[in-house]
Amino acid sequence: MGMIYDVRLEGREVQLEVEATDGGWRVREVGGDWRVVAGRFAQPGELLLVLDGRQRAVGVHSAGDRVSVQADGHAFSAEVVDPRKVRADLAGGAGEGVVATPMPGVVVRIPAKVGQAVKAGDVIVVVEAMKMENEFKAPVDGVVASIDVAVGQALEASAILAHIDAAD
Amino acid sequence: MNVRPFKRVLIANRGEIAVRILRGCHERGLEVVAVYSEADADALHVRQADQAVCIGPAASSESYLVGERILEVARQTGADAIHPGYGFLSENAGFAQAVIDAGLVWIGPPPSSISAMGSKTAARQHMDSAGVPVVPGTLEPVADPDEALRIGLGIGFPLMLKAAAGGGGKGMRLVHSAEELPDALASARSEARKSFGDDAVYLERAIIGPRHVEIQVLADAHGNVVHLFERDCSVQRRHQKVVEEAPCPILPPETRAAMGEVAVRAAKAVDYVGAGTCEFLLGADGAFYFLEMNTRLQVEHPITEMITGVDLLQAQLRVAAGEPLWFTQDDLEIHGHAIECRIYAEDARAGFRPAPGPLHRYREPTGPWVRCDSGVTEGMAIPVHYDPMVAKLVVWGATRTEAIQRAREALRNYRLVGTPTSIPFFLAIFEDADFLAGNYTTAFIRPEWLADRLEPAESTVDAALLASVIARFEADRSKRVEAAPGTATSPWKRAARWHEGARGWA
Repeated sequence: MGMIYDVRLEGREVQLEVEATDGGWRVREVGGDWRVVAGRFAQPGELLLVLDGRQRAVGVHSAGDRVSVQADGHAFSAEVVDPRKVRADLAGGAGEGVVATPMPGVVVRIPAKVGQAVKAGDVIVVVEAMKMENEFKAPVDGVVASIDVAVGQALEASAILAHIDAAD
Repeated sequence: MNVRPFKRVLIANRGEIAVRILRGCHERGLEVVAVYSEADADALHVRQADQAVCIGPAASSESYLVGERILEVARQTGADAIHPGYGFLSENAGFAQAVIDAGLVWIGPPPSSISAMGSKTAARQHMDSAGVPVVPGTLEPVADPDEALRIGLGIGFPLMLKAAAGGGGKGMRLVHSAEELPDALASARSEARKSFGDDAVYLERAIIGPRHVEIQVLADAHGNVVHLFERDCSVQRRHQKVVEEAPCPILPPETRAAMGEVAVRAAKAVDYVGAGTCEFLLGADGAFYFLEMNTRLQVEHPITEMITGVDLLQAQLRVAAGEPLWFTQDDLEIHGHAIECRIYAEDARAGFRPAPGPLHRYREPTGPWVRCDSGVTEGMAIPVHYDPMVAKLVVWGATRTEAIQRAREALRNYRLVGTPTSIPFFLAIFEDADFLAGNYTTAFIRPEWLADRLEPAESTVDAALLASVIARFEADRSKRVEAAPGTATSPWKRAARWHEGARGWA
């Protein structure tokens, strides 16, 4: 199953589609030709790729929309965003139990309180980003276990806003 | 004399040198007390110590620099010796004296030696009277252009005019001849007055294109002093050493012997005990001048250890315990070549801006004659409160060429994901024709040099781009697998596994 991502790295911006294959992956720019990338993970964080007949070991660490990379000694910080998820995440669908923001912003309001019982869809934190107020909602029914930000706080992308203890 | 056997050493330091000292103490059967700030609670040396005590919040001024607190911990824990490492309180004569007054062994030189070398003017006078060559110049400001000319002719051109109250390059003028002197003096004066409110200017001979070459000395408490040859530390950025090598690639044996003899004389002149370093400027003409003496173990001491086979940390411990040196100058020889790279968490392409950050993936290079002195492990973060050093990568080779080849391979195998480091910078240095020829001075790292060399190759960026999207793809794929319907797990387990994903599988 292929996935599409918007990738920003070293001043380049490109949309790439990735599919798993036998022996690795194939990658193409939207509208372009597939490029076969043979390789595998030698261990978590250590990606072996065969490019132009040469094997390369690349260090990687993926967290939310950020991927840290080390290749040939150089450190890179890539932003890799699933364009479909940006909208879903605005509804707080980042995953069970965790409310997270996909983009940088500033916390403007926190309507919920720790210990409060909430239903899926209740607004927990409001973040101003891209000149709009974005409401982040509880992804599940449960109890607010923690609020991890404060009003006025400036956030990085992929910042965790709150944790919800999911009800059974 | 403050030397006698001891059994429990308090390390008044942190990071890689604290680990180095801890290992050395344990090797010798000594117990270790670690002190740490709140930011260093999980530091490597803290974990490995026999006792560990928190001494304050992260800021050095509230922790590692608070001598009274450190002495209090020594009392509480029964430590009978203190090793100050480098930086922090290591060259604080007052603290050294307080340690001695408290009845502990100070693993370092006598407080009087620290004071003697601590003041630039006092050190110059001391060295002068010991017949040690210093940069020719005056210590008194010049009264007027006539006096400047008279003194200048005596010192010899080219001259450097320097503001007595100054620093940062302000109030400094390079003067090539007597004709240039009056204007240069007026202009230096004016700049000094504007920058420091004091227009006093003094004269020094300008050492053109110098190399920074230092000599390691070792002295016991019985009057024996030896030198362990030199280190070339000319590769610097922002006046900070980043690559050091031993021996200096261009030093003639006669100059080495002369510098060593001078360094020993300097150490004797201040009744030195322990490990210390005399720093010199080596001119293009082969003349050398004493700059200052560092009365502590230095960051770059490992390269001297690699070429002499002498463990300097053990030597410090033995000397402090009252042992005489177990070798003479004649027993010491240079064997092979060693190079050190200081791996800093910094962004070389952003003016070497410090970039303290997490070590998501961290694996030091190893192999024959590859040594990595660090205080970090995978999963730690480089704290923002101290210098951003990750590690010292030190290699040895039978020849300088072999050492450089070993350094290159070690740098290529250094796995560090999470923050930029000086690794690409060193890879560029070890491709530079001048460096490979041993032909460099303190002016080696110039902005123009940097601009060209630090851009990653096209193929590297290509690999990084692919790796980033593949890593993200695989991270999402594993989350989708775990979130598959029909998996009978509790909400706690599901939430916990999602957290694992958020921390970044792949």
